[in-house]
Amino acid sequence: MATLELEHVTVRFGANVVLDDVSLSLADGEFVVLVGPSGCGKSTLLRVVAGLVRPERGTVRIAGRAVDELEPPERDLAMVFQNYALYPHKTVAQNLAFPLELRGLARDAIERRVRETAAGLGLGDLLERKPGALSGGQMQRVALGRALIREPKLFLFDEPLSNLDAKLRHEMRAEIARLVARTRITSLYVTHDQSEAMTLGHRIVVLERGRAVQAGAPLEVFARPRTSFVAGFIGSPPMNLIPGRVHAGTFAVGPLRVAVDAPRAADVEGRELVLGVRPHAVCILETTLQDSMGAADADGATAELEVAFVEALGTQTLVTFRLGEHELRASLDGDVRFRVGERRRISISRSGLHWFDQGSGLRIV
Amino acid sequence: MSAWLLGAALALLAEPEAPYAGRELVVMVDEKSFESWSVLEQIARDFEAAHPGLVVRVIDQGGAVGQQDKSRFMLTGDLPLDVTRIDVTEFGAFHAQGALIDIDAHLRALPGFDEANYLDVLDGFRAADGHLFGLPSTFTPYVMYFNRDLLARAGLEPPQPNWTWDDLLAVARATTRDTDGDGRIDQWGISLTQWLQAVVPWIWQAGGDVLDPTLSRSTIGEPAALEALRFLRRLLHEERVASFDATFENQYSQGLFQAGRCAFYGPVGYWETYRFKYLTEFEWDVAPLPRGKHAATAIAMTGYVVPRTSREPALAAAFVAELSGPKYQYTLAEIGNGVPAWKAAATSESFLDPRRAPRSENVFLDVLPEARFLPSLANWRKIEALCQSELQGALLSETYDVAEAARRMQEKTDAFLAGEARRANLPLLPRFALEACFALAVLGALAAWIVRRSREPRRGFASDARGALTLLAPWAVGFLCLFVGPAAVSFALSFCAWSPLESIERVRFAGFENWFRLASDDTFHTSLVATATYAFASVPLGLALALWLAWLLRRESTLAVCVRTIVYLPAILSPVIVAATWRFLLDPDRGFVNHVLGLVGIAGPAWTRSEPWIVPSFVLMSLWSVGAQMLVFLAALQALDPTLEEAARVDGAGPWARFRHVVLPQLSPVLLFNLVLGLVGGFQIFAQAYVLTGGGPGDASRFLVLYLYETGFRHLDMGYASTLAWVLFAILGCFCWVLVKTSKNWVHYAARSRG
Repeated sequence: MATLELEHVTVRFGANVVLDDVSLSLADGEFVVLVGPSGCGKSTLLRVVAGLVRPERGTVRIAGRAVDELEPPERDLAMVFQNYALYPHKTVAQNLAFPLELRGLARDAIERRVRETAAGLGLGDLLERKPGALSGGQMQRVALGRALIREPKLFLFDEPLSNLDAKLRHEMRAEIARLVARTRITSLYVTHDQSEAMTLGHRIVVLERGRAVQAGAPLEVFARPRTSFVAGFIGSPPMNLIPGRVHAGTFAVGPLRVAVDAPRAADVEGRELVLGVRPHAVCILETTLQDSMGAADADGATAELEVAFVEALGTQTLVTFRLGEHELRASLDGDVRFRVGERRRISISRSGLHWFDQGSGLRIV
Repeated sequence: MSAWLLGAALALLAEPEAPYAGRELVVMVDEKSFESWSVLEQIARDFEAAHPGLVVRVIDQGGAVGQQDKSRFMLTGDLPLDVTRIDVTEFGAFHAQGALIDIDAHLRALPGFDEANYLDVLDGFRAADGHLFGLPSTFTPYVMYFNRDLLARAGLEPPQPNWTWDDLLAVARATTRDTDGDGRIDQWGISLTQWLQAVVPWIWQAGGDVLDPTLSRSTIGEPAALEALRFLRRLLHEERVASFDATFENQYSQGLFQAGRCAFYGPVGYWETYRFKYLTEFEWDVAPLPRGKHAATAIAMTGYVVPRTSREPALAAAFVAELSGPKYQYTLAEIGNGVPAWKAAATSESFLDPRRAPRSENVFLDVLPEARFLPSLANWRKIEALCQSELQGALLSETYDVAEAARRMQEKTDAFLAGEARRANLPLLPRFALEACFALAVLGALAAWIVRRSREPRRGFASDARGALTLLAPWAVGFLCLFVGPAAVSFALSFCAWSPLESIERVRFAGFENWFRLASDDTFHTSLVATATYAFASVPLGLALALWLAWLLRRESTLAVCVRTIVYLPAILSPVIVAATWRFLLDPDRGFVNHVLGLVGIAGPAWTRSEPWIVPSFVLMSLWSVGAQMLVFLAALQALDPTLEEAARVDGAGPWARFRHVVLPQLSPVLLFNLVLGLVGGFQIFAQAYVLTGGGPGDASRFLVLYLYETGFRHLDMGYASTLAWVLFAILGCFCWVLVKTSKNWVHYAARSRG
């Protein structure tokens, strides 16, 4: 168990800056999820920690000790790969034993640890099988076992669940959470799936094009995304991001009129902003209010919008409204039978409004 | 349509004036110079003009140096061939096996034909009944070349016409010396030639012979022959006045004589005059061989004969007479191709040109009265091959017992002659027996396949099976007719005696004789050991080198691509070119390899001239061509999942452990593939040895395929050659079976994890 610190890590592949001055620190036993779209540099960051990629600048410390000059095995960490990276010619037992054999452990000690680890992961019956004869979930379990068996200082997970089907993914997600909680080993987990990030980590770090744009507890990031990118990335279905301009203190897109708060009106007057609205924050007003025809109300906004299409998911229904040349998506509980083309009145409460600068993408507090 | 009518009309018109229309003469010659080619062409056109309608097609023998393999192949394949050139030492075998047509009557019917027009060498192609089967092209008696300048510097006179062995010894002693004072002899009395035909004159001079007059028994172990061999050993080992460089294989490289470091060189023939044309650093000349009890020398000769596949024996005989006639013989004399057999040409200035070296060219004519042919009705190629290694040992090895070696040569030759006599009495194989073997094998293979298929449970759709059959059919036809059938015939032939020069009706049944012969055939044993040594050395080393190179070059970079290309290049070269290249690289005296070794202070071995180093030389050559194997490894390496190696790195595996435990197991299927192909290729090594050493020194590089090729096409023993082929097939079959069976334990076909 150990802390992990990254200081000003920069990685360049040719002219391509993959990681740009990333700093990050993990407390002892902390589970941090690195999340971002593909190509954002999150896997590279993991490889820098593992020692598989040498950064151009910056320092990595494990347990307070700079490890930049150390080879991967000397860093005492274990890594779980997206495609499991099991040795196809070795049996499950041999796969599990390999890291211990390389450390020169006694044969009986290896056997005992292999048996224990396999039992802990429910792999007891599969020890003599080769990876080719295992299911995806079983393979990932073996890969986890191979990481666990060494009792490393640090776990690195490189999108371990992305090759599994949805059902298995949920199961394994829970299993990983349980394992890490039990071993209390500091873990860095990379994923492009925001729901994994939300559910697994003590803390999440959102990466965008090689930069760490926001770090924080999952719900904090969800509630107060620092940029429009984070806002769009975290949360499912994603936040509606509607660009527009402020005129006379009012942000108008199509029939939607939103009053920008008076104290800030002067700052934002004439600026191009992005309005962020989580689909869950959109409510349907069952009664029509004659006096608020498209005008902003003090508590947020209301508007009558045309239904563009409807996706029924059973427990909830996603309704997409036409909003000028943009769209506004609402997530409604239960089975809502709207017809395409019909007009509905919606409202958004003030607390459901997020404002971002269109140029910089930064949140306007 | 109109063109066809015109053609038909022309044909009709031409008919009365073209009595030979539609007839063709295929003539195979062996001419390496443009002048002789153009004269040949002219002779062919004149012959056509004299025989209206006849087409004379002149084709080149080509191929290996001094070997008439192409005509043998054509004869074996019953292809039309009307005139071909053979060596006089082959006449016996060709004649005995009915490969030649008696053209005596045709020749004598030619206007102006007279044996008196020729020098006294026609006996070379004369059968026991006195009939001529061919006429000479050019010939040469064996003589002694000498360095006039070197002798003059030593204050010695050129040899007199009747000089003796003692004179040779005296001059050789006087000229053998260490000229630069480094303690090593660098100037020799004589560069002594060592093949059978060059050794025979010494035996004749001592009053001995190689075969008895009835050609049924070898006499090389008798005292007179031994005396000659002892004299040669005395020159080489006791007096140390003779150098070792003039072996048969080295004839075409530059010897010590050409470097001006030998007083004498021989016995050799006129062909060296042709080769020494450009040798102007010193004045060289020729002298008769020194005499022992008698004066004697041997004659080497080539001539034109009419093979049994000729459709026009009379015309062919007439063309043979043209080739031996004045027009062509004067040209050959001008070129310096050999001594013309046409008397007038040989005594003209075309041959005895005083402006051309050697000064004493007339020696070639003067020695004729004492010159003899090797008995022309014996199979000399085979006898030479049987004696070669013993003869080399007797001459070259310091510790050899000459009498013992001669006894073994005599034994081998006697056994061969007795075998030939016995074989001639073996029963003929029933007609169509071989054809039946072919048919049975093809039908058997088909039946086995059908039975096997009917036992298998039906899977998939019938239409799929039909499609597969349609697509497989072309391959299956080739497999059955070009592999299964011929293989069965070759298996049948391994129980037969048959010369490829004979027609297929003359295959004789020999029972297990060929198979029993394997046990007592020393050449086969040497060959087997050499082949296995080569395969088991070159295959693992080659695989290791290929894998290592692939490992180094697996990353994509400009440098890696360049190096890969360079490494792969030798793999696309013909083995013949590879061998020719390495002949220069490995030359013991002037080669690049020994030069480099010399720079770092290592005295390089004699490589291709030394028995212990010859197989390593071939292994070295094979390592140069590992490009193809490297490419297979490279492809496999690049297809590996890189995260496995990363995982292993994180797990704590160093570079060697990663290679050993992660990479190598994944490469094992490719390793097996390369191993099987390498082993098969290794056991089948042929072209390199054929070009580079011809099997020597001794039998040290007579690899199995080379030996079976020589047995079949040089020594005309197809039965035994088929036996050898089946032995090779069985050996390879066993190795492949063992490899595939054991591969379960070390080859991992595990599918890559889905990813």
